[in-house]
Amino acid sequence: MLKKLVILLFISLLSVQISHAEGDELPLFSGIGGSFSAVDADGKAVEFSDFEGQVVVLSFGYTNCADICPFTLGYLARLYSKLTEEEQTKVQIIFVTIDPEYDTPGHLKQFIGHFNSDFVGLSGSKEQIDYIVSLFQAKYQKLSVLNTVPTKNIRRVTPKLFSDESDEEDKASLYSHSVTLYLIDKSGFTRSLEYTGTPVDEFVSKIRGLINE
Amino acid sequence: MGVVSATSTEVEHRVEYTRTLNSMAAVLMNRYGNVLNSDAIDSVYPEKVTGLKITKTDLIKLDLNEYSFNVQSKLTYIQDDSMQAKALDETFIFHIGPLGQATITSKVRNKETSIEVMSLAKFNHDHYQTREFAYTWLAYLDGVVLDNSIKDKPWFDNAEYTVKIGSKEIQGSILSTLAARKAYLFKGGHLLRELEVKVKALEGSDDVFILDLIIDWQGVNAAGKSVLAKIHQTITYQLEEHNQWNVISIEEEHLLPDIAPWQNLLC
Repeated sequence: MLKKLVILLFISLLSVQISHAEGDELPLFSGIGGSFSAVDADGKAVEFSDFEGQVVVLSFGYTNCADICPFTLGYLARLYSKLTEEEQTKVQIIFVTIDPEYDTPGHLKQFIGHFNSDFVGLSGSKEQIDYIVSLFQAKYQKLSVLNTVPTKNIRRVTPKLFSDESDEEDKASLYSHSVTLYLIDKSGFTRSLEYTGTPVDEFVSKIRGLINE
Repeated sequence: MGVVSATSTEVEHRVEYTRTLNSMAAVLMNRYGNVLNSDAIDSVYPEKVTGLKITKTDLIKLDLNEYSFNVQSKLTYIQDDSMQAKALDETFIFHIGPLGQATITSKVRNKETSIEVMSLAKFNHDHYQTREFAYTWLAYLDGVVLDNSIKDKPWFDNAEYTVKIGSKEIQGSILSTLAARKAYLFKGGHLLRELEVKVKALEGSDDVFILDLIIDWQGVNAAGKSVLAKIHQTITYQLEEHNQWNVISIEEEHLLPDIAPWQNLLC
């Protein structure tokens, strides 16, 4: 996976992004995204329409991810910090887990909070998560058989806490997943696809453009 | 990489470009399909053409509604019981009518040379008939009224057209679905990217086929916002007597537009 990360960084150096001046209109990507239901970090049911009126940056990942997810959330934390406090109230960073079985709402909240407590972690049933993944035409695949990798062997940001000190070793699955960051406007339309190779200032400029629409 | 928004002038150019291109391509595909029929349409082609492969094209706008379409091709044919091959360089001058229909006003054979015989078996009549349908269909979607109109086909009122755009789904006849689809893709142009024909195995029949089209669309929605779409259409049709198509259904889904090399990367 680290090799893929290196490739991703290499592509970022090679990619020539057309710079986006604030105020340029970003096109709508037809058929990417839409209405969905999920469960927030407090275990409450949410609808994507609850975020209407805010510019959303949505990404997929999971808490046991050893490389790209912490890297992505660190990037998003840096991006978020470039916005003014007023702008931050108009933007929502959403992290959707692709491992809802392991990533309980509480654990997801703790993981996300490590980067920024304003960020929203969404979980749900496997059917709900698969539907969200399909809406955004993202992909994920399991790299290990169900719950066979001891989590203590994974380089993890936030260890899962257990109230009942079970003798059983905590195990999880590993996944590969899409790395795209979806920039979504206040009406819920996907307007740009970015990734951690996008220069932060360029991404911030696009977000501001959507805030001011 | 990256994307840029479309201004109204860009949209107008896009509409003009795709309407004329699809309309002219439909006429040319029909012409080459006919060349591959037993009856040659034009004395400039050999009588028994067995394969025809287009190797290069060049489209130039000459004037308002006038275009020059240069086509280089290779063809194989039977003469005196032996297989022969030629390379052709032809230019067609097109006039585009008020409803977008293309008409050939002149043809010039620039060059014709004998070449070594090769296998062009898959570039047969079906190859061009399929492409003629695809370009005619796209021209219809762009509002062009061709002589060989989609709207006059016997299957037009019966074919079911389903469109899936994110969490929205539209289902109905071609006319009703297109009317509802206009809210999302109001004004713009369809540009063919990929085409593939498959036999539909599930039907247990060898005369039902699937035509898979990947189409780029760029334009504006009903609210005037710029829209990019990568459209996947699955067209199921039955091949009837005399090679007539009976389109049964059209399923359309909108895919992630190809804008960056990393978008399909999994980490």
